[in-house]
Amino acid sequence: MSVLQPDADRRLLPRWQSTATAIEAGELASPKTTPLEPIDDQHFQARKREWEAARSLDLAAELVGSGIVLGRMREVEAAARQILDPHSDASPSLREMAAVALETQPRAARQAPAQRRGQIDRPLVYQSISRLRHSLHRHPRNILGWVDLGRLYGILGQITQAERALSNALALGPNDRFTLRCAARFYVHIDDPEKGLALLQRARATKQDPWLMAAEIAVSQVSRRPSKSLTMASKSLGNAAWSLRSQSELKGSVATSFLYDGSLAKARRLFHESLVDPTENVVAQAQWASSRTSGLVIPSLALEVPHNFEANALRARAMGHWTHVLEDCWNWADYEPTSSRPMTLGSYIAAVVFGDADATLEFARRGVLAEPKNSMIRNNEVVALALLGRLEEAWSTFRDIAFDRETAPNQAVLLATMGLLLFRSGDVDEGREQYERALAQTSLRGERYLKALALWHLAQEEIVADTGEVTRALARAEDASKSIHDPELQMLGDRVRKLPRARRHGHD
Amino acid sequence: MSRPRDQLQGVTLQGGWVVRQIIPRAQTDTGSNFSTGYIVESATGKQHFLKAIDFSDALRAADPARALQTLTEAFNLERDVLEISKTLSCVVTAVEDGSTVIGAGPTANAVQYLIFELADTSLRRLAIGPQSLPMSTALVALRRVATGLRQLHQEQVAHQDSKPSNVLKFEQEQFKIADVGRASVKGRASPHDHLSIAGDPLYSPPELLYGQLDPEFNVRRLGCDAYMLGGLATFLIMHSSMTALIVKELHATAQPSNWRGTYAQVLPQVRQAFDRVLVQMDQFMPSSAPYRAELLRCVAELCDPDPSLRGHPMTRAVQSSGGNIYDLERYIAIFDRLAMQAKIAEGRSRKP
Repeated sequence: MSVLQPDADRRLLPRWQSTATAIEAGELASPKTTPLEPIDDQHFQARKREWEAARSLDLAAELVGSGIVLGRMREVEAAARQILDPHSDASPSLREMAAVALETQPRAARQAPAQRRGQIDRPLVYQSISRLRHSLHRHPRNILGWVDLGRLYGILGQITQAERALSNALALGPNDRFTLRCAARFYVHIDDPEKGLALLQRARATKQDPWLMAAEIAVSQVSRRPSKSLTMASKSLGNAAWSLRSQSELKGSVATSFLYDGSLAKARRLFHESLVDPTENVVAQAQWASSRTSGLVIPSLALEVPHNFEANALRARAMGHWTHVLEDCWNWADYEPTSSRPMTLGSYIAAVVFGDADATLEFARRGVLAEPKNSMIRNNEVVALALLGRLEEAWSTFRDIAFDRETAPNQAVLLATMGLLLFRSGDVDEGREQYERALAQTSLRGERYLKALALWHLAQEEIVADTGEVTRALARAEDASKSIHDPELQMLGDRVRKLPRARRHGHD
Repeated sequence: MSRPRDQLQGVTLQGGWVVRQIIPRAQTDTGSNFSTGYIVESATGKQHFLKAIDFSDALRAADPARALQTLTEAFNLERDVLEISKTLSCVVTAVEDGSTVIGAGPTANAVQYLIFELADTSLRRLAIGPQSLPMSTALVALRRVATGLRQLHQEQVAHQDSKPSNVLKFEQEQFKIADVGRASVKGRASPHDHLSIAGDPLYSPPELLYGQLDPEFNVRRLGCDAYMLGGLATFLIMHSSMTALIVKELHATAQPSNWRGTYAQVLPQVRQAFDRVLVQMDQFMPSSAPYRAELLRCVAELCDPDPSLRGHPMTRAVQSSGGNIYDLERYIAIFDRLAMQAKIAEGRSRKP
């Protein structure tokens, strides 16, 4: 058995969020800092004087409306109260308008959650889809509605429908920032980052929009193609015409690029700059980067950004607060239900640190729902099923994974998992053989961590199967782990060492 | 000291008009901040509305010459548009255009005035009042406004301020559109050309609020009229302006007072807000109302946040090669039919 260590890589890909959440996060806000020409307030002032003189309901209604349009709600509170007076003749719709004026927060960004904590509520998602489809049937030009519909299908893993909805959005708004970012993220999600990159590179808006430049850089990194935005982005950083929030992901993306190129000082400097007014995605990226370069400290204020679940999970992981990791992975999954990453991390920690097969399965199943074609989350599901003794299901799931199409490290993981399955199916020799094949692959590529991980799992299987190879297997695992200072590996080692050994063989 | 235009009470004007009483600004439904309204009586005893203007405010301005020029141009444009519209049945036109002198000697001041028919009330008061406005009447008003706007458009004039208080009701349910003070004439410079919003921002189409000023007269000016016509229909249902309803639905970062980008960038959010307003409107209309679906469709077409998609789809298709895509002819017919349907339905519901 083995599970691949998650988050070895992380790119600052756009989140595939609901419109409401993205609006709240400022992702749809204008990047510019220069305000528009102020709207002439001559009418507002005249209206105010008129209402003060006459206090009639029609004038109160217009004054409240003007206050809302001009963003001067404080100045129309008295008129709003007049409308809301129980004795006034105001209609229900007018009362609603007045109630909005009296609230400090405008009514927007209301959306029913697509899932309950920890699990996808499929009936609720279907209900949301039905409502949105009905609305889009009547108002088909609602770009953001199409993007939201695509995401809802994405949550259910209905990729064809999701793509269709996103295509409609793209047809209506080929230069719309949010649509492009979500579509690019979608194509990465379905393992076609080149298509996402082409979309971003084709769009006129990418040349002027820091959010789109950031996405282009990240998607180009994933697709291992040169970024067309990187040079321009590097020159544009610090552009005073762009708000700090709108530059946050761009700085984070360029910093990530520096990090991968080994320009650590530049990466650190840009990460620090990206954290002045960050999105939660940037905080997560910096948190991830902080374990790869020294001296990158996340300011405490940045950690207070709303929906900071991924960063919190990564931080808890770095600090060895394992229960918190699991907790934050669930929160993160609720926040980003189309991604299998929270589930990959959750299932990994549940399996490696806790050896908790039930929790591993729960995380993995949720991850499979988000990304049915992700072989590593499928692998974790197989591992959990095997550990729970549900071997038939485990083999059936395992056979669905297209081994030949996987990368070499993934193949090593899958070989080890096949070893686990064989061990648990009673074929110890063949199981050991598969583990050895996995180990050979890791040695060939110098993947020391993966090798140590596989060796600990082999040792675990030797103990569980009560073979005569336990001492040798433990010694090999200890030896492979010697120079690796990894708390998760240590936890795994501690757990395996403590496994009860039923009987001892003569030569053991 | 009161301004010359405020001192007309009791004065007898040329043609035998007697100025009876000043109308406090709050009680006038139309008019600019630079005018004073009065009730005047004709020689036959019929009451009319007089709008008086003088240039005293301009003389107190920081740049009196410029202010005077602006005021004069605005007043002359209004007079010219009134002249153009004098044969138009659905536009309030002036019955008298004159001037008088207040005071004597060196303190004498000229006051110019326009005299109009006196309206019973405005659509704003009718809609938001203790008595509910029958929908058949509201739809008649919409038809009349659509006709008035179309009549103006045929004369190359865009009204740009057809808000509820500028739709006046006269005897026998005769609705007319008033106050051409914010109008623009195609091919002629207007003193308010430099303003992104010629009329009242509360009723202005969203593209103007976000500073998108199309260089094409039709798109910017006639598109504004089309939106405001749909806005009137919205007002009759929701008692609020379509613009306020849209802005209310927007997140603070996307509201015109906070937005810093282009209109194209904010348009998806505006459209989403607009669609929510349409859903709310649908909910506020009686489910059995025969006009419900069609009126909602009219509002959706007339108030489309994208000015290039505004107006009747058939008209847009026919006029796509350079004609007026905002031609309101089809809406006149629709409102006429809906008014009839509403009248019949109201008659049925009154029967025991």
